[in-house]
Amino acid sequence: MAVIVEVLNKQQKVTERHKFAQHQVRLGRAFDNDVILFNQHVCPYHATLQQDEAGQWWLEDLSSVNGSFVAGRKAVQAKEPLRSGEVCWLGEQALRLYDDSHPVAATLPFSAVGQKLQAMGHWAFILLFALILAVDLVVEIWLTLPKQLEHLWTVRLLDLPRTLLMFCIWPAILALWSRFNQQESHFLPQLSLTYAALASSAVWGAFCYWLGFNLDGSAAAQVFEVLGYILILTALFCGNLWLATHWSVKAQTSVALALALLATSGQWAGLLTPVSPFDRSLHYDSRLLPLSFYLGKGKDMQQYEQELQQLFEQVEQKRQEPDKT
Amino acid sequence: MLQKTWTSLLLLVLCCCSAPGYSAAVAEKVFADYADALLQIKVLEHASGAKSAIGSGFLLADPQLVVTNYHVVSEAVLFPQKYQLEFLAQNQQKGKLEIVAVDVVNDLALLKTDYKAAKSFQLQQQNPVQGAAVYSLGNPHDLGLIVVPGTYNGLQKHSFYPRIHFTGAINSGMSGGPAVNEAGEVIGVNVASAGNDLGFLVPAAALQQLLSKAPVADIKQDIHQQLISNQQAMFEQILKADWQLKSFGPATVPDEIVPFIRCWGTSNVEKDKDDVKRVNAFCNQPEEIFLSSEFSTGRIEMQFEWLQAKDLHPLQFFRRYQQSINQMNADNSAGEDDVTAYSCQNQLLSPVEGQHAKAVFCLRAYRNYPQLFDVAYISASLDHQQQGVISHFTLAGVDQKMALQFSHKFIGAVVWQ
Repeated sequence: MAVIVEVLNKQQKVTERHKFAQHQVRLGRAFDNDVILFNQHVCPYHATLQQDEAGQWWLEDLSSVNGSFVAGRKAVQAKEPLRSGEVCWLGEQALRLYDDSHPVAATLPFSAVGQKLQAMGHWAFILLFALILAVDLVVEIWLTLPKQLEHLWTVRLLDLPRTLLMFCIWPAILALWSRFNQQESHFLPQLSLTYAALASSAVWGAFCYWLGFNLDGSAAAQVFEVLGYILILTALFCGNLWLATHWSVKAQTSVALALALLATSGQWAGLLTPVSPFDRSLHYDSRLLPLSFYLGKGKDMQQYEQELQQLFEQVEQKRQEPDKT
Repeated sequence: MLQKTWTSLLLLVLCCCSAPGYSAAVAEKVFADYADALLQIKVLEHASGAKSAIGSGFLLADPQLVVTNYHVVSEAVLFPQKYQLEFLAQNQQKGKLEIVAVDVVNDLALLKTDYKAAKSFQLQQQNPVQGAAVYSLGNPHDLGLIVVPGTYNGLQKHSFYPRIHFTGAINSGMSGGPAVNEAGEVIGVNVASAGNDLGFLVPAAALQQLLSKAPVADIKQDIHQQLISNQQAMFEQILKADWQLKSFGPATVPDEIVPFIRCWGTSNVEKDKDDVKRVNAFCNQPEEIFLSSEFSTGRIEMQFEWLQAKDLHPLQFFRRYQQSINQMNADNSAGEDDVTAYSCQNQLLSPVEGQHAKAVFCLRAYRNYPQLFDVAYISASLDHQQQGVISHFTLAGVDQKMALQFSHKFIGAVVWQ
């Protein structure tokens, strides 16, 4: 019956895997060992693994400088038994032993979502999202740049590569993290997802601008806008985590939602903060679009004056509220 | 012959000298006669005994009351538990003062005292003639009492409140001091300086009115009543007036609708480089009613802007247009205890068939003066792709009825032709 010895790093991730048919395996830094270790706190001939007639494996310490340990960090005096799947340490070097009959986890099937997410890594998608971002930027410059500053077009356009590059950092971090966890990095799909989220935010922002103008700057429109951003970011982070981890869907969704709430905290905190009883400045919606963008008909003078009367009543109520100070 | 010339020259020089010499002599006499009746008014903090405000005041003969400006003693009126009033006479005599009545609209206060002067002031019964000599007495910058000679120049034009235009150097510390004629009769009370030998006096008639008013139990409530009636009087005049409209680009807007609202205008038409042509008009009633060092009211302001784009896409134009309406501010100052925060109402308004404007109406209430509000309104016309008219007004210290009637008339007056 063969034995499998796994060499683990400090995070208990497998770095090497050896399979032996013999009953004794020698462990240490010397080159004539069966498993040659790197760690400098390991002795040249540190320990051996031995199988007795009953098939039980034992870890025997060869009077090493830094000692050997089994499960529960128990020091090995002469020799200690090891069960399949248990970790032991030579000094601080961790090893794991398996029988070849040890059961393995079920096969992870390809998921439809995972494949779609990976398919997003195609360069055509990345290009499409980058193009949407470019259009958004060009429209913004076109809308705001005064005629006498037209020579600044090229300078302003440089924002595009800068933005695109800056938003490479997040997928790069995710890719590194995946590599670290010995999974595929998925850099391109992560990049594509990030650009997709940026592009959707831009489109959502433009839509909400129009919506806010049509709803006369109502508070509901503002809440709706923030909810949209939270949703977009949650979707982004869910996708990121799906590609980077093998967590359960529930864990992924809750972490993604928490991250999205954190990222939009400035916006929703502003909506939730109670209005200060005293404020010198005026807060109102100043958005203007040509009349053709307004779907309603607008109020006539009579309706308007009724609304103003209600405003007077509201403000009078505010005045009568007991002073909190 | 030579001697004759010398004599006439000497006479001429003497004549030139005698005018200011005469004036100075009268000033000296007035000052000497009434020095005892001129007082320095101090507002002292109870706790620290430190001076918090200082001004001038004077003793009237009948009734025996001290007159000063409301703005000098406002702290003692509003926070009687924190501040007290004291006078200091020319002869270093000191004593307490008590508030009897105030008129915030004319910035006057009457104070009770047991101080007696050898000769106290009388009010002049009729107005002086234009150009008459007037002597303003007071205590500028805590340096001791002084007299400033000047001229009476009639009532200030274009002012809602009666104010005597006085040519002479009134300083801030002289507030509350009397301005008298050559006989020493009070023609007005020093109230403000517009710099460069330009001063304003509250006419004796306003003081006479306050003196003849029945005493009130609650001064703060009386201030409230004064504010209510004053805004009522002002807005009734505005609303009753037949509003002068002027053409403003493609629209008409209100002009100098009443004599006390004055208008000015500017534009950037010369600047060819700008992609939007802007023309501005601005009207206001600039005089404020002082309520406390943090809180003033009573101003009216109207502002109009006409924007016309040169070869801009409508979306480009509207983005620039929007920047012109996002900076609306209150034009009177108010503290935390004085007013609520502003509440705003946004609306797409169609005041007349076929005309549309985005209108923002903001409102805040006076905490201690119920029924009074500050209003700020701005609207931007939306019917044209390449041009727009912004109309804006702010009203300070106005009640609901007046505010709504004014808004109605204002919105109706801004019309595209």
